[in-house]
Amino acid sequence: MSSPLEWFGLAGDADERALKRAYAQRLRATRPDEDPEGFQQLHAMYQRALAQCRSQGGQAPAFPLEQDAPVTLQPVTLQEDGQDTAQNALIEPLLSQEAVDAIAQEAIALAMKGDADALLAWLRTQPALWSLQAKARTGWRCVERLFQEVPPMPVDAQEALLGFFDLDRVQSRIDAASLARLSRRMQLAWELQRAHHETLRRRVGIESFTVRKIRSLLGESSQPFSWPSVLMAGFMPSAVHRRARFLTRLCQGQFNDLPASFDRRRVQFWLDATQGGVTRARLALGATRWLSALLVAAIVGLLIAIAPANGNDLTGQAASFDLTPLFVLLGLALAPGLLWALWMLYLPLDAWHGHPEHVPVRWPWLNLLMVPLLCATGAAIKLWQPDSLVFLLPLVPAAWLALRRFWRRSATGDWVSPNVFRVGIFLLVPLLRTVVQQDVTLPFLLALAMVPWCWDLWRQRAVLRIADRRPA
Amino acid sequence: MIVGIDLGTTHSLIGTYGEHGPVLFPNALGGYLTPSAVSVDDAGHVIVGQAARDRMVSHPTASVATFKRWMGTPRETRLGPHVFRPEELSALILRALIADAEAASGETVTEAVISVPAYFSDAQRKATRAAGELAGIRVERLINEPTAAALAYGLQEKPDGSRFLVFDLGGGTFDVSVLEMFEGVVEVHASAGDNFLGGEDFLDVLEMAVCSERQIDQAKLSPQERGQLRRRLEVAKRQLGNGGATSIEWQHGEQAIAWDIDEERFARLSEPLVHRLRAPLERAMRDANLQPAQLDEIVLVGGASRMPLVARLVSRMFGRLPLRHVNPDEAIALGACVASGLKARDARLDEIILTDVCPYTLGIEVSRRDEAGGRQQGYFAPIIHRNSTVPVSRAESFQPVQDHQTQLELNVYQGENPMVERNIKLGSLNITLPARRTAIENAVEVRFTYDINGVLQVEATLQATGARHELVLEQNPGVLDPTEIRARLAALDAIKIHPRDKQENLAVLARAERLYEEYVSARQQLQQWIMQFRSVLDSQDELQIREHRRLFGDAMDLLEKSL
Repeated sequence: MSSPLEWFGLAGDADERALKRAYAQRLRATRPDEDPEGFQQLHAMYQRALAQCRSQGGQAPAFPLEQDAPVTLQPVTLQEDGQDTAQNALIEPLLSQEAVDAIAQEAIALAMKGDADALLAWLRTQPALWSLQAKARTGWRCVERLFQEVPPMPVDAQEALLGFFDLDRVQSRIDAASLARLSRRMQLAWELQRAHHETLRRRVGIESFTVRKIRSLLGESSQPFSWPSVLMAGFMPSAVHRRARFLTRLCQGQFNDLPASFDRRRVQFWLDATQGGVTRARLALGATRWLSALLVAAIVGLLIAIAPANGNDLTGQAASFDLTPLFVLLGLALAPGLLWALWMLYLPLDAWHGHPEHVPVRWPWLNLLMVPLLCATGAAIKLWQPDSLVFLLPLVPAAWLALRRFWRRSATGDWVSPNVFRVGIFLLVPLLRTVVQQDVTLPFLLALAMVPWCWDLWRQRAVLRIADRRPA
Repeated sequence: MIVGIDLGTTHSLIGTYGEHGPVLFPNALGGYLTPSAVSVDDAGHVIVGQAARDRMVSHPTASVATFKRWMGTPRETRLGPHVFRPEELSALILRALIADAEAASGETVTEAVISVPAYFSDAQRKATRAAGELAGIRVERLINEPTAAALAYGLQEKPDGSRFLVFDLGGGTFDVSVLEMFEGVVEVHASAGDNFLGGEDFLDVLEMAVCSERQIDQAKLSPQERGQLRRRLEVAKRQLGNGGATSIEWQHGEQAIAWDIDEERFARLSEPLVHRLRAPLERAMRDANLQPAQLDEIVLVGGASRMPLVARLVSRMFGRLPLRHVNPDEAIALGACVASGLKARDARLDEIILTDVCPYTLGIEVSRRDEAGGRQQGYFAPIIHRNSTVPVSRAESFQPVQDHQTQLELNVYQGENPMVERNIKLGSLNITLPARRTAIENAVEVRFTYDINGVLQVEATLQATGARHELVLEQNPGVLDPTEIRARLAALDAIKIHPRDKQENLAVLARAERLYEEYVSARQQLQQWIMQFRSVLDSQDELQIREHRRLFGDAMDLLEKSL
């Protein structure tokens, strides 16, 4: 059976009427309520045969939307002499491409004013749009222009426009994701207009923000990137978080949607600064804060050191500098900075060691055997120098890393919840005391490191692909 | 006997496929149209039909109508001592209709084909079936109202043309179907509609206009006043259909209000509603892939399609005047009768084959990758497209979002929006995936099967293991489950309903009470008549009652005409 028409036992050039007769005949043997499957096959075949018939007959589909040429409406003859002749005359003349363009342009211009009701009222009174074809063509023209121009438009006007042309439907042949993106961008463009900053403020929904604050942030975002400006603006950690939150909510998490006037590097800087990992932005901001703290500590320390000397001048005694407050203040500023630096060093290690198994990673073998290696080193040191506590140096990190790895890699998953660790913390102190008193520190630490490590390995056995774990 | 029932928003009809084609059964009052109204009297007994409709004016808190609009919702109505769900109210109507059919034919009704708006959702269809069960009959098949009208029209008129459009504007729902008829095959190409658009909405528009013009707070109207106003507006609306202008007179508190309306004004007031009529028409034509000129005929059915503005809309859109050879009130019921004949495999209908469509798009929720590489949730992936010919069965393959995913939630939706949040959730299915497989290995084939009775079946097959999961659509709050239906059936059976042979007396009394409420000037006269009639009723002399009832009815006719 080559062609659908032949399936019906018809010649290749059979007309629609013959096909329908053949279909009706077969349908009596294959009723939809008695033989659903047979009917579905028959109906699918009928549709194909019908298409074949029509293509041979030169009949075009009723809605050649993609076609550029204007479609002629067949002349309509009224069956009765009614009072409606005048109105009917309105749909008869063919709409030229220019007319379609003009209506689309006017509709978009109205939508850009933001009044959905006025837009709908205008669209409904357009006599040309009573024709099904003209309406379909105008609707498509509108969508084309929206995609090309991305005009600023509030959501309700967008919905009114697309809804009137029935293009907000799942079967309207517009990709839903692209349409959602277009809608976000048009809405954003609308809200970025000065008159609608209040709407923007309400949508962003950060309580402490006033319209003025939003304007200053928007103004700042379009300045070209420069290190001094961002470091100054982000000196306070809360300011950094506020900016990142504002930008995220502004574009609903879709940073590609931000208009070109936004400085990409600046936007990226704020996002990097609030990310979990170690980024340049985070390091730069942290270093700035640390150095400033040191500077302030040094100045204040020096002032304190000099102050009593000035006071003593009055009594005529020789000036002497006491530098102790200076060193105390410097130390106070230095200590958190050092801790922060250590934390910055630890974060990448944590991420590298606790990565999900199926994601490629650098140095896969070291990654896999990190914990056993540290354990072996610790045990060797203990054997070599039984009285020293140096063996704790590799063993404590090993236990910590193993537990972290176990925890991180079970976060998505299966049967050990983080609750186990929360309970464990309460038991930790008595447990540690017992361990130290009984002098079983080494086996205890070894077990603490190796048991989760082995357990994790067993859990991941199906996805362990050491051989092809290379960085992408 | 299998009957066909048109369970309408304002009126219901019953009939069957008899020896000479479809026949309708008259109710106790001798008419075919039984108003879809339920009322409860002081003793807690249920009254259905014309008497209940008249009691809407005199006893508005103990009466209810237009409950078809609430089908598929859990809304409950309190009438006297009883609380009813929309299914139960519909069941009471069905019981009254069945009693009429059994009285007229002398046979027992076992099964019915009930007509529903083509655009009724899954929950609304289930509720209609439940109503049938609560009325004690089997309802296997529901027929879409425009399809029924087309069946009746096609068989009755045997039109030359083959493609036509049925425009069905009823009391509460609006449906459009594009059909083709050839060689005894009735093929529906497309259906579209609006479940909350009908004659009642046009009445709302008029009510709002009166109230705003006369500075009356609509929310403060008492139920009685509102009932009276609506009744008068209804009469006025019908008069406008005959052309020209009309006026209403209405008692609002102490104040007598007169209000004039002409057809042009009515058309202007209802313009927003007329525009809502456009969208389904356009959608149906587009889905059927037809141009207006390719239609051979346009058939108007449903009582509200008598309004001249409907004919104007149709002629403006399609460039021709619509046909109205069928009786718009009875066409759907007659079609339901034909459908009952088809269901019973009547030999004379052997040549007729009906194929219908599924009016909604059905699909599942999926997530998609956006340009930034992130996942966006909540997209609607259609599996059965709207206006597919039923029965239909389609399958598509989907992958879990992540590798090593162990659970998959399949959410089934009905609707047209590309985002699921704006569609109606029908149910969900949890699938356990085999562990340690990639997303590609864990692909799932989802099959939707929509059968001729409008039942959707969802089946998910894991392609790797062949394990099958079937979805039993969860009971959503709008639908009763079988145990609940049994319990409510027992409760309904316990409620006393006024017997059929007393219906005529009841209707006369209810009408007198309504007139008493409506016409202040005639109150004394009416009160006297009512007392007279009651004393005649007490005599229990059947002959005397019948004679007096006739006289009473004539007197009220005269009264209504003179006022």
